[in-house]
Amino acid sequence: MLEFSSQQISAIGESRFQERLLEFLLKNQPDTLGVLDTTEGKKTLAEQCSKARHYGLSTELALANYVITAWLLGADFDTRFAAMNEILSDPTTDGTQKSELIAQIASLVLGKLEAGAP
Amino acid sequence: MIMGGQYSAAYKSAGESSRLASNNLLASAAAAAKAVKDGAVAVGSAVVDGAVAVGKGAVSIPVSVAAKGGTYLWFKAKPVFQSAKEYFSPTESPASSAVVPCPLPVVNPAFRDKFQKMAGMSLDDSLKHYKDLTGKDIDPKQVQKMFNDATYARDLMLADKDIHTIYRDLLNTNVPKTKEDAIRLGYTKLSVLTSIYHNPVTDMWKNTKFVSADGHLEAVYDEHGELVDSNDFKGTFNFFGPDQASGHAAADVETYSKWGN
Repeated sequence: MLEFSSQQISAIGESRFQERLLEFLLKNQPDTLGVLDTTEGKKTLAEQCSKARHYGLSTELALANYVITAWLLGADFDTRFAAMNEILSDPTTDGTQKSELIAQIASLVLGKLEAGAP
Repeated sequence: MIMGGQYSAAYKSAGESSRLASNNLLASAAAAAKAVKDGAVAVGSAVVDGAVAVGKGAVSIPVSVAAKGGTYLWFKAKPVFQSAKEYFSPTESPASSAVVPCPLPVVNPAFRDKFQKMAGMSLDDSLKHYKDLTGKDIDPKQVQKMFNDATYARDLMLADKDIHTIYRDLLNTNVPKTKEDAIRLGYTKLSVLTSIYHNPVTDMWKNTKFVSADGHLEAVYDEHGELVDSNDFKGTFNFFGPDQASGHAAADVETYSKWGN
């Protein structure tokens, strides 16, 4: 009897997760339409998930927060913004906390921008 | 997220100035940390005017710069993060969601009959051949499910290239060797459009694609009516025939996108 290997389970789970993530982004960030739902877009989505894992993010929500932040601030937000880099590289902060912090910062920063005035 | 040219264009149209502003926002942490005033935005311990402070560092927020940039209505960060909390598991990893606990149903005798007629070999023989070729086992129940559940078929083939290529090749071995035989056996000729992936770009009319009456077996014939067996252009087995559009797209087309023919 064929048992799924751990690699197969991971591949299936990752594939399903990225589909759900794409579906979520298309629904909640309409400007992703025509960008992320392309072959190149899906590849970039996978790359961002991979980068998130590199920083120790592992749960669905943590990965989603990372990818959303990357969409909002730019794919290189993890290195371009010193504070983000500091958080993501901090060995004393776990993946869940890191993802909450980057989401919080992105929300605050972009909320300020949207408000438009000090 | 920069997506090559497409995203760059979208990004610029959404507001290049805001991108520059947000770049500045997070760039000069040290300077911002010194400007502690009222009306601050705070994350973590530090509180600074026009700045976000995180842990040891701080992040400058030149809101006045941002204000010049026009509208930022596409920046709906807070709602999207809130929605994500409802949509994604805060504790499970993506791999966890792949484990399907429900047991597979036993193989129906009618399915075995159907399989024999379709493939020209028994289900068990097909699995034995596959084992000989790859050293891998497939449960007959899994094969049955692949014919009934396009998502399952897709996931299994995306996870294991050998099922997509070698096992499907095995299932497709019973195709007629000539176009004449295919017509005689009731195969349907498909349109030129559906045959484009089975032709060289320099000669799009060279080969013609046929499918069996049940849509599963697929054969490509050259201009002489002979079966094409090159990896690039040969016909490939369909778990869901072309007339079952959504199932065909998931199980037979998406997997092609990943693994090729």
